[in-house]
Amino acid sequence: MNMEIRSTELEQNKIKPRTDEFAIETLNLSKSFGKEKEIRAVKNLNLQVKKGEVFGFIGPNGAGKTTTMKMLIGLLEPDEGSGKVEGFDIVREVINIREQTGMLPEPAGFYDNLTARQNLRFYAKLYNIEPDIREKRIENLLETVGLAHAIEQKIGGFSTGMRKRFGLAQALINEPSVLFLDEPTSGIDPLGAQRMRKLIKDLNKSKGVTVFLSSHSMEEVEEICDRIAIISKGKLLVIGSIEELRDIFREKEGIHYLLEIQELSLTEAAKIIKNTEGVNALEIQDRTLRLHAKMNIRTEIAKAIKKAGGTISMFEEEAMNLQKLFLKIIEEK
Amino acid sequence: METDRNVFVIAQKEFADNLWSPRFIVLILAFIVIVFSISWHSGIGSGQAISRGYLDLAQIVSLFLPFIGITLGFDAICKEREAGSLNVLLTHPIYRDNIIAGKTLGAMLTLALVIFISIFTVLGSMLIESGAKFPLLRLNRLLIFAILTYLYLSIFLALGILGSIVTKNAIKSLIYNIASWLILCVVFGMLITTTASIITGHKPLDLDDNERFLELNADFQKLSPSHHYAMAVSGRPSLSWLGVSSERPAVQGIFDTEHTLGQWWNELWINVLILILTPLFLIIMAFVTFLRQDISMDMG
Repeated sequence: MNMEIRSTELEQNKIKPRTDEFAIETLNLSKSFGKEKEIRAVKNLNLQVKKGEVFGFIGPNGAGKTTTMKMLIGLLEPDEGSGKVEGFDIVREVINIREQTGMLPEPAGFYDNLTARQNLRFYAKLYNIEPDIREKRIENLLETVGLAHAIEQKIGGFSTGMRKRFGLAQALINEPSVLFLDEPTSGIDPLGAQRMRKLIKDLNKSKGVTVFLSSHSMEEVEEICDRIAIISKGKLLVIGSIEELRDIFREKEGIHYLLEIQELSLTEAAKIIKNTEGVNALEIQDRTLRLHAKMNIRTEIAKAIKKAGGTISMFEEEAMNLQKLFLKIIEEK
Repeated sequence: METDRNVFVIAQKEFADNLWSPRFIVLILAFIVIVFSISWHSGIGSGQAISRGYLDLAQIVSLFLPFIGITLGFDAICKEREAGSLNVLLTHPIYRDNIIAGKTLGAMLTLALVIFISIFTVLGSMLIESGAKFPLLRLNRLLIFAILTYLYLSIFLALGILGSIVTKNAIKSLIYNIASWLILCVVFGMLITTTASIITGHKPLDLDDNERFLELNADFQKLSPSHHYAMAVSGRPSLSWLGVSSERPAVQGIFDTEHTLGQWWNELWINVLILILTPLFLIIMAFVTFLRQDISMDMG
């Protein structure tokens, strides 16, 4: 009880976020490198990340992802433009931002000569967390990331997967409202990666932590992100949910459908569908019909098949996965 | 300010890391053994056991102890950079100058402990061996000796930290620091003798009409920190390998009890001032270099 009161007092002293709507906002954020600023790493980046969402930030190597993250936590000053994290300015209020956020950078190193507990204790001291709260939080965090058994083990003996999970624990030591994760699953096995994704999702769901995630794993981004931004050569190409990104291509390239029909032969069904307005192409694949349409014509096809006495047992859109979407977007732009 | 408190958090960690690092323990033990042996021999059959012991110790300190300073500083920053822990540290609410200040403070505290252990080991060994009674009046001289030694070693500590900032890895930093030590403490005498000889055209072994050569040599000698330390402690210029010097102050260093501390100060204050200013200058250089460096480039 006593500890709870003290914890609340500490929370009251903590700097609170200034905004309610967006956790992260940037306006024409730009950064160049080189003696004459000839290498433009980020160009006029405009982003708005809502509170409580898992935001995927993807792009090829050298796209400007890490530079953007560095600017957002105040490790780099932008050349032009501005940005806010939890309402704090990314140039003038860097310490306030770091009080509010946690980050797992890539590469991330820890003090190998210290145990997991000693490492976390050191980071916790940087936030002036009271000793009794600190020790409890360290134990809880290591429990959360599945490292409770290794609390007194030196980090030097940790596997890559354990180090990544420990990295997540250190990013959470201050109970951040925004979490920056740079390649959180790189270098770890599929099982470890799956475990890490579950952890991130759980954190987002249970604590409402906003997650800003950069990753090369499209599968990962597709699985856990609510919205995605694709960046290339420092420029933002697209932003939106996966469905919204798919819509871009639906409008441009049409939709592929797969159908299975009963009580009608495939040839008969193909004839009927071909005559439906909007159908571009049609082919029979084994027991399935694969068609390409300019627009959403589900209702029209369903009506026509029903009228001819057939039943549709399967009617699916051949949706593009993020990998394909990403490659198409990068190629196009 | 809240973030300034983090200087002490980092200093505390550095101090603990240093104390438990095997290389530090090995170095301090080796140093204590050397100092103990020297002081033991210095005390035999001498009424001036304590001062003689310290004069020998001063020579050992000026030559070998810079290693302790170098050991404490040479990988302060580059080790963290290599391991990627600097990346993580910078994501927490801490300014860059807090990091360098914390690291310097932690190393300086460790150095103070080294001096404390060393001085009392030597003092104890000399008293036990010679049976000499340690006069209380000499305690202040001992304290000044400890401070001078601390300042001298701080120069190499600051050099080590600077090396760790400007180099990419610990091995390179160690090589640069060892090279600096060799030049400043071991072969400096030979270097300046050769330089003075080239400039004046006077052969070092020719003792006739060598005033200009000796004058120039004495001037060049002042470029080495070990000279200022040796002057302040023993009143003798640090004559490293093949070095010569004509400088002979009236006060024979801090343990010259025939002169008062006031006389010692009047005679040798410039050497003391240089011992104070040099580490300060190097620490400021280290700060400026670290703050100007784009360390975030190490990230990703």
